[in-house]
Amino acid sequence: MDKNHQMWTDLGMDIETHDQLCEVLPQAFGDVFLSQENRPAGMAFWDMVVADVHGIRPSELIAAQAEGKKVFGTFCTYVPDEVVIAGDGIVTGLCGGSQFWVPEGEKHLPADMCPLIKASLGARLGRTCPFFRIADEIIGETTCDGKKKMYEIMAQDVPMHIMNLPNMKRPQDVAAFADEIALLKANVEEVTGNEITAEKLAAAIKVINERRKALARVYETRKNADVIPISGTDALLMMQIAFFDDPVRCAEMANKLADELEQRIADGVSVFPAGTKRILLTGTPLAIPNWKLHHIIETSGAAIVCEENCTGTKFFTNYVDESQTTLEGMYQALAERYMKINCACFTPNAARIDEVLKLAKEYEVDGVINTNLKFCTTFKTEAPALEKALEEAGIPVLDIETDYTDNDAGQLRTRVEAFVEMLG
Amino acid sequence: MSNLADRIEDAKLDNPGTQIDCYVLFSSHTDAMQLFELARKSGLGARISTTPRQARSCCGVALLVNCDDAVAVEDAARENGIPFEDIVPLPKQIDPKRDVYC
Repeated sequence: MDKNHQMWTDLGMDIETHDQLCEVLPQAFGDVFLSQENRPAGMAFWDMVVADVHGIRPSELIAAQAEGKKVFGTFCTYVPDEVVIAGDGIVTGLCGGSQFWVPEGEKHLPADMCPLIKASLGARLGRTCPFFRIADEIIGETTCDGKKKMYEIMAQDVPMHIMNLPNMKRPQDVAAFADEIALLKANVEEVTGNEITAEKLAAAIKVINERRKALARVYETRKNADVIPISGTDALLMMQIAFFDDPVRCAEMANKLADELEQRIADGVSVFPAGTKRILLTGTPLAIPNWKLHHIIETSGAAIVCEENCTGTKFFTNYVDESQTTLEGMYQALAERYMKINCACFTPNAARIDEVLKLAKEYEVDGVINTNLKFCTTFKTEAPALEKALEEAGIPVLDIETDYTDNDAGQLRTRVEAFVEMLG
Repeated sequence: MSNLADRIEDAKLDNPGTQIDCYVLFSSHTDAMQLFELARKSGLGARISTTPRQARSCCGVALLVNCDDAVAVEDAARENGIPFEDIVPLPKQIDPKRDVYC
């Protein structure tokens, strides 16, 4: 038995079913990533991570647990990694971006629920994701109704801590979220047995701000109107892995990549021909290994130069104030930063529209593609308002609803090709 | 195991008109990255890849190399003591218009 299979067996995983994922992942990875020309050399790191995505990082986490560390799984960009890190814990993302996990989720959830939620529960209950098996605790949050109800089922199988995320952004809501962060601090201390001091939280805030700055550097290079130094598909992979990787290493590798991309701009090295239409993608998150829409768009004559979603700008935009010296001050600073994320679960959420318009200008896009995962009611409901604002600003927009299946790939390709052709 | 050059020729004969790629298989991702860096510095074409199921049933990091460079990559690994399990010639596995995701 090879090392990975031994590890997965020790984790109590369903090896036979998991092997079905191992069968399809290499082909999809090759088709999506290795078919690209002239990729940045720095992508080798992320290629390595994803080539053994259920082997390399899980074995690191297990080794850390053997040294007494605790691992916390998270789903959402609203959960402040800083608190876990301040408690000497480790944060890991959780699998939820493949159709592979959906049928198991549908055994416990209504079929008309978004695939991300169904896949997440399916990955845990089906025992087919090592990250779900390794996590000592999973931290959820009250974002959308679907996730809230799913967490009730998941909590019967694994220890969970749920953060009460307000759904409005008034000052009292920000203060309430600061209180929630204090409760998370107490929870992390209980799970890890480590006290979180103001000094440790301040240090953790710096670590995560450094990760944000590094990822933002990569995105900054994508604003160049003449040279597109990295494909959207590669940038997406970097972002997807950022949820799973050690934050210090993530920042180091993203900074190295940014160095290379900045040099590419200086040298005029683009991964797309001159004149390729520039697209901003907005909408629901694209959890690993959901590469479908990026691949379809970028093999249909366009380049994605920005993702306004949780696996894009929402993950790194805005820094936490580093000037606070007390725990209470830091809770408030954290709450202020995290409550600036513009998720469709909030009301009102006009700030998201403003953000898309601002990014469309900064990244000099030719068009916007607004995507939502099937049955994501909140994002779908605010789509018309977003489209209206974009049309009023003279920015062409295409609205796409899809899921993780391959069935609509041909139809999507036709629609995207027509949209790109319309861009002129 | 037969000579690598012979196996590449056999693969070409078995798959006329099809590009043949070579996959270097490893038991450790650190070995894969070491050979990748060495190949790059030596000017040999190599890319990090997943291990194709046609080459081995286990997941893991592999190197995808042009068959014209495969023997040189094999020599470089041996000369520098970098362990690898096998080098497998396969008909081109990559199809960007397949639209089969995971």
